[in-house]
Amino acid sequence: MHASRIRDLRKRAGLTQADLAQRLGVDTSLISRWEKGEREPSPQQMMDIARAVGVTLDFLLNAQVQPRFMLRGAAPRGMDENHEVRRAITDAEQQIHFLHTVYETAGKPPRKLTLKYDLSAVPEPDLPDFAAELRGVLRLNHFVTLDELKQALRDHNLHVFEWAMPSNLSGMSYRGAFTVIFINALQPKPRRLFTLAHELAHVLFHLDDEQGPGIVSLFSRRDDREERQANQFAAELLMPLDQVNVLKQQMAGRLRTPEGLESLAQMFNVSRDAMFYRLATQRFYDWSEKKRFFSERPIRDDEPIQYRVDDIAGQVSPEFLHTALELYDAGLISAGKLAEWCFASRITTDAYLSDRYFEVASLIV
Amino acid sequence: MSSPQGRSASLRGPLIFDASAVFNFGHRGDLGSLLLQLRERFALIVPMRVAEEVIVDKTFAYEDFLSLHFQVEPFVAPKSLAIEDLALLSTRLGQGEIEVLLLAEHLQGTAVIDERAARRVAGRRGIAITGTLGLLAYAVEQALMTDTIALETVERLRRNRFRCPAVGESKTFASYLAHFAAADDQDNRVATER
Repeated sequence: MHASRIRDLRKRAGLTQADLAQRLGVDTSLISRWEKGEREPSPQQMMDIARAVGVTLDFLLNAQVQPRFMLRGAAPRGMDENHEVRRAITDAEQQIHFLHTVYETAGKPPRKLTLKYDLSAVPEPDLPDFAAELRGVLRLNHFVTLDELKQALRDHNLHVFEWAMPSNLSGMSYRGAFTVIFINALQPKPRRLFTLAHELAHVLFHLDDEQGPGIVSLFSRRDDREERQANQFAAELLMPLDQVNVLKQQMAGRLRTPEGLESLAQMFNVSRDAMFYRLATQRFYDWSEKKRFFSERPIRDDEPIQYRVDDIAGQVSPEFLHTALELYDAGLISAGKLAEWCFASRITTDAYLSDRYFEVASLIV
Repeated sequence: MSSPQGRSASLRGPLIFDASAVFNFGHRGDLGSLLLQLRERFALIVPMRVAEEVIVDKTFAYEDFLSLHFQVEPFVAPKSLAIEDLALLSTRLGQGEIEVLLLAEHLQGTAVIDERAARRVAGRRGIAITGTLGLLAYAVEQALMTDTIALETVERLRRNRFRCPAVGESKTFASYLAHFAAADDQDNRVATER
């Protein structure tokens, strides 16, 4: 079982067999024999392999469910060569393994998503109707905030993780025993809201429970059908047509200025990009006008990404954290394990646990 | 919650420190002078992975602190360790903690780690273990530190967010630990029933 895992993770880490052999101080032929299953690495070598390919030992040795995320067909050429994107995908796969581990250790069964929609058989789905129906099911009002949408989705067993990710990666979604959406914490809140709604569309319409590969959404080349559908659905969900029309009438000429567009975007808690997209699809704007509203903003993917963040509670899904903390309080897992599960540093995790401990102590006093 | 278990009578070197113990002797407890005294008696070791965990935060100068007080050692797995054991350990402990325990087992030393989950594993594998408070107890017993200083240290550790009970009415470090141990046993019983 470890053979294919080692091979996959080595490739994902962008290492050749010779690279890995050099890092581990072994002969390349030994790596080859491990990957063919002819030999099994020693415990010490397993620890070294985990370190070299950038995964936890637990993931390397124990992952039973092997979630997969695939770059979409329309991803720009060479994107799979992007080291930071590959690393984010590996981390997402680890996080889903951690979800399984946490719930299993706690003796809790996974909770399946309770929202059920399937557009795959519908040639031209009525997205406004779907969005309106879903707003009702989720009890959302016409002006949704990120926190409201996250809470509504939590109530239907959807885990949302907000991680620092490469700038060209907006979000990822996965549906299996657990349903998970990752959104890029480095993006401003309005963008994250649209991404969450976009990924929700993928979860509802393009993924099923059969644990097929998850979807990785990139900030570029959104010209395939499913990406278009996800964008349209997100726009319908967050910027309902009737509300947009009312406000359009009220704001009239102001919407011809960048400031007017910004005001309207703020009302719907979305970015100016998303608002422009909404109005352009209504033919209120012409796509060629876009330059008038936006200054060029180069996408940079060469910036170093700080994956370890300082806000454990803000980064992971509350249900996941709650269950993990129950295990910690029961002495079943350590602070170091909690740090791994939350992709946080030890010092951040210790500080978080201390704050929590002293908060409880002060309540008791 | 930390534990004072692993009393000094059973303390045997080398001492292998986990990240939280390093933080306690570092920015939380400012116990560099005690480390210097301990170093005269034991080798003080930090496994490579723990060193990486500790120096990741640049707020405190842990690179200098580690090089001053500790030997940073690569991980060596004990010969008796099976992959299955490692797989099980990895579901409950972080990689730094695993390296601390297994290095202590390999070197026949004592793991310095303030984690209940680690203590359980150590117990099952017969690894000697102590915690930050266990080392303070050792320091008091060996006259490396007075009761008053040890109790003041506990309060300083608490002020700097180390999870341990307040000194309260305790006049000696031994009475503080006795009070602590009673609460800790209760915690353990609850955890063991899970």
